[in-house]
Amino acid sequence: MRRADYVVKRVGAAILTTYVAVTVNFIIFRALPGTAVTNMSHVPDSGLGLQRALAREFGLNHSLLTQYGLYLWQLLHLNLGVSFDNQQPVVSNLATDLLNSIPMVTLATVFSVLLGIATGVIAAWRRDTALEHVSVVPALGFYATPVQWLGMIIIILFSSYLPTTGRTDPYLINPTFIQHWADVMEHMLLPSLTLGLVLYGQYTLIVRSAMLETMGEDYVLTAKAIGYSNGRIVRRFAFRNAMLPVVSVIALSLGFIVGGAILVETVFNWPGIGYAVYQAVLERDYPMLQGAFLLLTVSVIVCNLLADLVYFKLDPRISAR
Amino acid sequence: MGRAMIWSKRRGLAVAALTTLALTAAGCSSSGAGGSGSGSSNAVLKVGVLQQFVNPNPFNLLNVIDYDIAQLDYPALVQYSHSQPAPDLAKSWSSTANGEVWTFHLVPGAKWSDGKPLTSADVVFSFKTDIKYASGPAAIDSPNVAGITSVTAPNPTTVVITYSSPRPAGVVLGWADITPILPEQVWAKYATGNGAALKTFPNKPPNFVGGGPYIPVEWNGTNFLLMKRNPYYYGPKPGAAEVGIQYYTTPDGIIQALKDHQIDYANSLPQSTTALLQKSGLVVNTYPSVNSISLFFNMKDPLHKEMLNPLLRRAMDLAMDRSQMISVAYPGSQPGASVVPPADGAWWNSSVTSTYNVAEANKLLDQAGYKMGSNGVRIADGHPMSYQVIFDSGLGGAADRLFQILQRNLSAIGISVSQESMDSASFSSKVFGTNNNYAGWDLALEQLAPSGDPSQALDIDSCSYVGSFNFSGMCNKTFEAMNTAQLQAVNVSTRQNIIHQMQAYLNTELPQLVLEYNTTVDAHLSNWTGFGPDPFGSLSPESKDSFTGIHEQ
Repeated sequence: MRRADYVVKRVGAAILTTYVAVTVNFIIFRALPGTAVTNMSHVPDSGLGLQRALAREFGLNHSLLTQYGLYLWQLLHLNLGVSFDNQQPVVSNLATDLLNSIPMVTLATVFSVLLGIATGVIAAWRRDTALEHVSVVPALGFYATPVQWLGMIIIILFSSYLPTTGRTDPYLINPTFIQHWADVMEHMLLPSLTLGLVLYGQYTLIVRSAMLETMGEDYVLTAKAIGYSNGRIVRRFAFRNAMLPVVSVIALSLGFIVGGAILVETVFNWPGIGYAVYQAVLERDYPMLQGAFLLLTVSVIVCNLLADLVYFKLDPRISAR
Repeated sequence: MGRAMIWSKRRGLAVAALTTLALTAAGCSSSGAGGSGSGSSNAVLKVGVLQQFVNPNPFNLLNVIDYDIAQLDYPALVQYSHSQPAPDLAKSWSSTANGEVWTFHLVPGAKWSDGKPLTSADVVFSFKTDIKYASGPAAIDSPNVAGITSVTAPNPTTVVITYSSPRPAGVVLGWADITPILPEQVWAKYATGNGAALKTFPNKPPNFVGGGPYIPVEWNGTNFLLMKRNPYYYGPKPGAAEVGIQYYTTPDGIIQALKDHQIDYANSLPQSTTALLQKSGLVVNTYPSVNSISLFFNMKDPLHKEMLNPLLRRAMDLAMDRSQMISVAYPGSQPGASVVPPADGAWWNSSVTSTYNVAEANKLLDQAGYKMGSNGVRIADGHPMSYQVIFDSGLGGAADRLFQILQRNLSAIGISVSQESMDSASFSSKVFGTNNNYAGWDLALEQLAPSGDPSQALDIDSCSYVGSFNFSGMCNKTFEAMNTAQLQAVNVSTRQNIIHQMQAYLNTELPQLVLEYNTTVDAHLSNWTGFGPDPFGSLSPESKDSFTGIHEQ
């Protein structure tokens, strides 16, 4: 397959997928019962006059087709609209939420990848030994654990040692950059640990599986026959080739980093995009929901595309076609 | 071997660099609570709340916490203290005999936080802006200014408000209490054209100008607001130099923070936590609330027409074991009866009571002709008396428990109910239906939170709130006539009589069964004192005095 053809096809598919995602984004939130206006019927002093004014302000008095047209028109101008909730541009809301989520989820992902790779390699290398069970069983256990429950347990265990709520100490007055950075890191540790623990199991299993498959290949048998040590075989041959599927999973995970982690952010009161999306669903804040899901969709599509392109570069079997 | 991936040291370093970059960005993205720096950290009152504050703009007030903070940041003509109208920016007021013209005398020499004079011109500007944009950006304040024909300022400390018809004191002052007075020098430029800019102006620190006891100085946009004492405040000097308000997503989190001394005061905690808080050595204050939980009947277009039979509604009322509901789910509450709660003082009709009498309930249903079926469920119009109750999931776990008791109570009289739980937006959409037709349901369980004046508690059953706060859909000429009369009854005794009659009338019509009157629960550390009583807790949408007296011992 020519490289140009491959790239063009993948990019074209990504664009089409984005358009479909945009349309689905528009439809699914409006399929939910209730609107931002009906949600506000519980506001103190809310009367029908307020509801009518809000419906006009939010554009909910237009037909669905008109709303869809306006939505696409705004998107073409890179305008995600204004939040129904705080009346601020969705772009700035999402930017703030995203900048809060990305570091926490990135730290969790790095932790889960490194721990997953380490335990996966050990499980494959020391197959059928106690070390394999010690590696795999906790991984599966954490993977199966509800993340919000784990978060609450971690809070109970560590609340005396580390902060368990929020992103910063709000009473840290005029911190220096280092102080602020340290404060954020301190607050980030527990939510990232929680998320990392429930995620690393998937990497453990994928790496273990890929390693076992690779170690069954003929060239590994040849390497053994030559007299290479097990350690050298794992490091120089098996591990490298086993990383190909891991690259794919990591690239896909990167896309979901943008989505934040709703449950972890809720338990730890971390002001990220996941929790913002949850609130936007309850409030039927369509612009925020549409913007957040578009961001998530585009990031997943882009990361998928990147994964395909990286795979194309890394795997000679694909580029040779 | 081919071109396999090379996991070189360079790539490893690249990953490490990217990670460090992301984590460094964590430090760059927000400055954290820079604050103004107070003299001593003990001067800061750290408050935990369970509602998220997202709107510093007074035209975007959505939650009770938004109103709480607006009460502290902005003047109002009056406030409520011990549930009675009390001076705020207006130190006194009077009206003509017919209640159509109200005169407010303002505190002389008042100033905004930017040092500029706070005068009657600002009051006139605020009210006129609300009137001008009542059907648009200022719709949130439209009930507050309904019926006002003119607002004038004969001198810098006098405001005269004229209404199109007589207005009793409770109505005028009740709305005035939650109408923030805004600095004209800041807001005038946004009150032009269609007024859309009024709602989009962020109104955030450090450019915030207010006149209340506190001024926001730091807001992280999500879960923390820091306010400091306003040196120009026209009222008594607040006890705490600074106030930090921090949002917690769960009651567990806020209680743990209180126990760990991370915060000093927590507002509006679940009633079920009272005993736990006391055991933890915290000071717990409880106040009779104006909130209540009610079971609403669909009085407009129920799915099953027997809902319109008053005998059925009375029977269900008699079957409610309110004492058990309270002891299990809402310890400290009072059994519900009238729509006007006891916390409303003399407005509450104490002769409207509820009774628990299962035998009498069964007798009424037998009288209505609803025979008991073989499976213990009665039959009405050829179908089992089996109904769904639309349930607002935002009420929380205590309400689930209350529902279980309600379910058992109704089962004892041959009525089967099941819970249809949904979020608030879905709840309202289902209850009001398409074009407010209220079609497709029979029963709904919801909490009411009316303001201190009884008019809002009674509005819940009025025609003008169909599709809004009126969850039963009741629109009744007799009740409307009484409601109109009380809204124009200037004489307090006359108004009180009418309001008592309205409560008695609702007790015969029973559009809703008031199950219990809530209790507001606040808790604080023992080194703080001065927490004033209010039905909403010391942090209140209708009172400044309940909060400004708080100080460290």
